[in-house]
Amino acid sequence: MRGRLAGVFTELLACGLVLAQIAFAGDSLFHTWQYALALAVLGWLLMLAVTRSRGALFTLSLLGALIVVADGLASGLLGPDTLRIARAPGTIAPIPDIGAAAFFSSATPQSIAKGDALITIRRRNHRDILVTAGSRRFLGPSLLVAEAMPVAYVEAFSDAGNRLTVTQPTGNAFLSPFLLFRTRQEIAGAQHPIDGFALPAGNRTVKAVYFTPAEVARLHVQLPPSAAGEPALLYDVFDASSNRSLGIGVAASGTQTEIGGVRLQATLGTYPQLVIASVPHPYILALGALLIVVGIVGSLLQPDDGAMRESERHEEQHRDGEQRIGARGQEG
Amino acid sequence: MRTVWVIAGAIIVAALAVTFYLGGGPRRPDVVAGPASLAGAPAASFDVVRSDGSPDSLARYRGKVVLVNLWASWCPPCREEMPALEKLYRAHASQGFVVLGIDQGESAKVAADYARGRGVTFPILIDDQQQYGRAYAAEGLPTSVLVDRSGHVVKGVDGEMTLAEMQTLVSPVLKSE
Repeated sequence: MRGRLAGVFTELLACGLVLAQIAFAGDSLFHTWQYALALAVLGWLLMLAVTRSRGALFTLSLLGALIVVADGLASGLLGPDTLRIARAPGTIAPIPDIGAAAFFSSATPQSIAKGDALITIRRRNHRDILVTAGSRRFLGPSLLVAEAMPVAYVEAFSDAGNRLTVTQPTGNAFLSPFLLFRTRQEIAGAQHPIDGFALPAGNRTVKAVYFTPAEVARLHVQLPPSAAGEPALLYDVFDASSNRSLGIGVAASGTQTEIGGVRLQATLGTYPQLVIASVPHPYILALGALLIVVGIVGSLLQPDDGAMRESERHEEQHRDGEQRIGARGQEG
Repeated sequence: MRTVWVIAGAIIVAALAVTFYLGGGPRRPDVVAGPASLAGAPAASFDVVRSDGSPDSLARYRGKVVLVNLWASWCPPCREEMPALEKLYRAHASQGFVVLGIDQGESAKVAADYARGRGVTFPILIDDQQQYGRAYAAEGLPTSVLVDRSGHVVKGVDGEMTLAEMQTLVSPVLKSE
């Protein structure tokens, strides 16, 4: 009985460790040797329990747990590292690994403020998979997650009020007014998302640093009361020819500021980045879990068949002994 | 006892093999696509306005061969390319061909003044949110994308083209359809 309880405990522990790969998808912990070792030890304990198990149904549940462990080991050891794909709205990213292409939905200043953009995964001869911010979708042994990331839609105007083209010569989309803040910079002890863009018509380049509402409150800058609770951008405007800074300014989301001869305005919000994480294959996991449940429930409902056989053997031996004694008595 | 070990080992090996077959192996970095990679894909269309303020989009030209030209007035190669585009448009307009100049991120007045000053007669669209530029994976300006009568991309070209290069690009598509 004690051995069986220990077996169930090992099964639950193994399932918990493997399911953590789905709950915390994308965490690098699952690709470490320490994680693999922990699963391997649990697998070894389960195999020991299999060899000692006397009930057929309970052995089935142990084999189910072994399948779960193997699935978890395979995704952790053999599965590729987590891939994070951040793209500008309205662009396409081919993903050869999963034979698909990710279509990042178009966005407007209003939609990024709402944060309701989505990513469509298209594969030949398959239905589209829609991944919205915060949702999770299985694709074989991969889990697709859309993580909401800070984004800014930038508009720039000349002194005369004419709109200026925004380009990102070093970004992933040259003609994109959407800043994705893929890098971070430490400012006053805190890490801030940072990005940059160019205004070729105005001969300006601009560095933009993202500040959350809480960080804005600590900045001690004069912002209009309407901007309270809004995130803000710090702009550092440079002359593109001399690379000389022409001024620094902070403006909240939706408000315009004039720095270095250009008027800048940004709408801040969120836009999803696609995270593709290796996870245990759901069908194999389901098979393992089914065997565990059937095995445990079945062995609870049925009398312990191993113990039954053992007691039957004892009874037989007992009867056999009595018969022999009886026979001796008769002989005597 | 030995049988149990064999079965347990076989289960583990099978599960590892299936998982590896279904999705294992190193994950390759995603490929960044330029305009040339769009060949054969449906051409993206967005509702924008013409330089005169009337609504327009690429989709409205379905049935024609369209040379989409992404440009801006501040871009020197775009300015140099403009007369050749105008000549190409005039030469083939009667064959169901149109040049669609899509200004990227500028005010309608700036684009209209520039086009008028250069005697441009083909439609100029104002894409102030630069949607076409992103969808056509522009890596610079100008970027040209040839779209066939069925609305599919024939070829995407990064950079300035001469009139001869434009003719070489457009003529086979006009003849074949």
